Amino acid sequence: MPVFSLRKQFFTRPHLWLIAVIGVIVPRRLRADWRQEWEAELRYRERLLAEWDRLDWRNKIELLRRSASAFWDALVLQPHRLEDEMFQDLRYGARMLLKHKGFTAIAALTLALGIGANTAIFSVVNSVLLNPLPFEQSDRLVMVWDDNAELDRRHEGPSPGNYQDLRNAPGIFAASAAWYVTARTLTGEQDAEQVQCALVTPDFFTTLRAQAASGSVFSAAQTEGVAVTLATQYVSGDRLVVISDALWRRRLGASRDAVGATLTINGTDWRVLGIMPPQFAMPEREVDLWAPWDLSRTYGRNSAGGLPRNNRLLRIVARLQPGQTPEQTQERLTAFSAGLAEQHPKENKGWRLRLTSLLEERVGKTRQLLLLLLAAVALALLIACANVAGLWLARAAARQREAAVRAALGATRARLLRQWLTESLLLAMLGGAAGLALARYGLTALLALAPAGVPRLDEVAIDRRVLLFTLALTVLTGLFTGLFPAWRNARTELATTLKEGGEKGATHGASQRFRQALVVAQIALSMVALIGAGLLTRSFARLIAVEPGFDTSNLLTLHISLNGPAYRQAQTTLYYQRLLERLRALPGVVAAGAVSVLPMGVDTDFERPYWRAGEPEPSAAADKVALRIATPEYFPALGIPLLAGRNFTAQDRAETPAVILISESFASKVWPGESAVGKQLMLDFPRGKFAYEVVGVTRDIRYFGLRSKPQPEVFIPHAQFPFLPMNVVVRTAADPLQLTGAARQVARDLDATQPVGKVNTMEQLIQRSIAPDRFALALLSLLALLALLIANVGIYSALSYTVAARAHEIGVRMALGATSRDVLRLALGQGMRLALMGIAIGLLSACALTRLMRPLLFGVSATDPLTLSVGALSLALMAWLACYLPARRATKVDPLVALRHE
Amino acid sequence: MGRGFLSYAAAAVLQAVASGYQYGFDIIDITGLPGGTVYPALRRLEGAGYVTSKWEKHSIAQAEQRPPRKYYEMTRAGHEALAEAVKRYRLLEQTLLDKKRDQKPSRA
Repeated sequence: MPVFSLRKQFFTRPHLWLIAVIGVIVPRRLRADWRQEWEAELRYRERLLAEWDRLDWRNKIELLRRSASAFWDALVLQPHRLEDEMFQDLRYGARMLLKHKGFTAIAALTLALGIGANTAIFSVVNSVLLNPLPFEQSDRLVMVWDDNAELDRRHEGPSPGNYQDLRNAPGIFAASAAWYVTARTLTGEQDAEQVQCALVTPDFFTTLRAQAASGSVFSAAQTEGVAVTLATQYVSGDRLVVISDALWRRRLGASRDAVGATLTINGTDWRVLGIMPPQFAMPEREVDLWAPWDLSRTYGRNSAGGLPRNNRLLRIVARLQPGQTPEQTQERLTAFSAGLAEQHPKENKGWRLRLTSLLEERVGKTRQLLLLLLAAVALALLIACANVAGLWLARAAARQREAAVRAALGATRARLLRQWLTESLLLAMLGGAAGLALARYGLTALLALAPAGVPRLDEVAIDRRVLLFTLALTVLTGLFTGLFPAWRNARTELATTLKEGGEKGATHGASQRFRQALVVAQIALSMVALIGAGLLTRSFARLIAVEPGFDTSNLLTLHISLNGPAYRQAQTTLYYQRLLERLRALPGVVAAGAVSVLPMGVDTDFERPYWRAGEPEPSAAADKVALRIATPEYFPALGIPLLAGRNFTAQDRAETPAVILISESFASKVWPGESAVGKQLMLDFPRGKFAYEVVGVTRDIRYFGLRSKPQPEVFIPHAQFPFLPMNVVVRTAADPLQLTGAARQVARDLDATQPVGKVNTMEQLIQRSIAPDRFALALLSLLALLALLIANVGIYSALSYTVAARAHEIGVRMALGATSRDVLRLALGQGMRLALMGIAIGLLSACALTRLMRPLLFGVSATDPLTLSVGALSLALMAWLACYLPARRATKVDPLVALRHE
Repeated sequence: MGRGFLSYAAAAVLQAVASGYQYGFDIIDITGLPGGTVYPALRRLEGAGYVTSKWEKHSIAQAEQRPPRKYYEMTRAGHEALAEAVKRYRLLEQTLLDKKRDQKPSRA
């Protein structure tokens, strides 16, 4: 019914208007009859009443009332909707999918792999990058860093003095807190254990708005005046500590009375004030203790003029002022930094405070890896889609006759299109459901393989957003794979198809071109995937080929952190001397030494200002050098050669002149072109500023993993600076892991109250340092392999199809004298032309896309010619194989059979 | 639709058709049932084969400038079903009346 007459009817005969409107919800099949029956009755009644001169308002209302009851009638008809076309299409589609089980299985599996991989990776991306951190209004939380562009130093923690000013400055942040993570030793009835402890300022929990799971968190009043120094411990005031859920389970047996219990930390007793919930992982998952920290008491004791401003060691979390954007706050922070630089130019000149979002800070480093993986799985899905679209196209061609018959029987083009799309959506749903199941299990495997460095992995789950994502992906996939075949199918030329029997239509121009385009797209996409994987492989090979600068095999490392009142300087030296002696006495031990910061390890080290003796002291912002403390045996134990001068000896004692060893890059930096041995270097170290004599130069080693460049370093003999926490390295004759027990026993015999922390072999440390690279490589290679497989199946089936469709033509050619060689060349040439086109497009897009991978690559350019050419060649080879089989089949065409078919 | 018992409303509608009220609105008037009951009942009866429906002649409708009306006719099965339903509801009525009579005044 046209709209204008409907509107008119609304005023003149509302009862008829109602029937027209209600009719909309009547199932389409019944609608016309239904409307007619009601309308006829109403109009008949209307006429009757008019004849009786009784069509007054009361009767009009009665008519209206009666037509309204048609609504209830229409409702009763709703179940008949199931007979509607949509359900017919669904039933028909399901029947067709069931009938062609092989096709359904292959297509659904292809889609399931694509959708499953996307779901799995997206659920990781969703949990790690997209979900807010588990704090109230966590998007308002930021971290504050100190940058100095002139010195090229970025991302350093503000100094205590600067932080105190920032905290006292009104109107910048609503709340803020500082922390510092350090190691602590737990002793008691169980074995001594080393744990990570976050020293936090009193506002830490209130800034985060975090609550304890049981007990409570600190309040500012409770923690006032508690002072703890960083390296050892000094405590005054109430000793209260908040512990992690993990520590509560591990150390206190998840006891209900844990709140108020006592823990012995570094030899003194602390009362447990509260237990954090398991999901609380600030600042890191590894932290087990949160101890209160009063900055002014800690630092006020050491320096007379307030808190120090030159040691940039704090980590700061802050909550934005209500109604303030991060940009506005940054502006205020910049102005504040300028004020600091003006007031304290010595420490703060050139430094500028900068804020970053807390979420970005926690997950930023994994963003690239995760986005690369997401891109890779999206690529795999695209290939899968192209593949399934190709399969559909072949099915569409085979079912052209069916479509023609349906059209002849009165199905409209729209109806045919809808029917076909229903089928492809149904298939996509099947693939999506299977993909979801795959993702569910794949995710478990993925998380088990994931490197330790990826944060928030314990939060990964398939939540509602992931399900929506999968659903959207599935629907898109269904549309994408089905749209062109459906369109082709609906456009069937009735007469020709029915006459020709459907076979000829298969090589129809448009679908032929579309099928070829699909093959080219698949090859191009797998080319990109292959080059991505190839680049990572090359990069990984480069990485593991890096010479770390020392012999990494057969090395056992033990972390020992001495503490307690018994260990003063002389005792510390003695402890390590005895420990190393006893370790050397163990059978199978070749050498043993100790160092404060282990190569490939995770310890933080000191960076201190230096200058040549006799020259003026530079400003506080000057260049710094990493300081390490080592025993003489450390260098031979690790196999670090001495390039000049001598090693430390037993004669370098506390009372003899201070000596140092320096690394070769540092030597050439400070004394370019001359020998450093015998020179005097000034260092600003906690004990004061004085000159150290350079006695030797060591070779550079890569301290912070294979990716890092050798870093200037200075070694101080342990005997002259008895440092409490040290890493013992033991070189063994055989498998170092076999010595683990014996080495631990030696330490326990020496002093059972001192825990032996992490025990690793050097190989393990190196593996750990390259774990993220290995992970990315493994996943991307797997995906590239999958992509390659799917793409080759695609080429194979597309070409097989073309060969089958051209059997007649080939038969004619052979009857006219073409040899099987000619036929082979024809079929191969057709396939390879597509393959080469795909490879060319793939290479171009790879060059554009792999640029995004650059941060993940090591020692390989993103457009590495070797990778590109090897990738292209191997893909061409595989495409040739995929073409060869169908091409061979083409030569087997019997001209007689092919022609008789006519 | 099975050939089970007719509901009371369906029986009433069937009775109306049998009595010569063949159009939907006439049935609504005579039974006093609402349209939302009568029409679904008619469709069920038709589905069960108790009534058949026909469209009235085009010429009549055209003369009155309205669409043709649909009318319903009894089938043989419909007559049988009606007879059975009437018997059943009579019996039911009887039982109910008996029950009422048995009840003691104090409990009424």
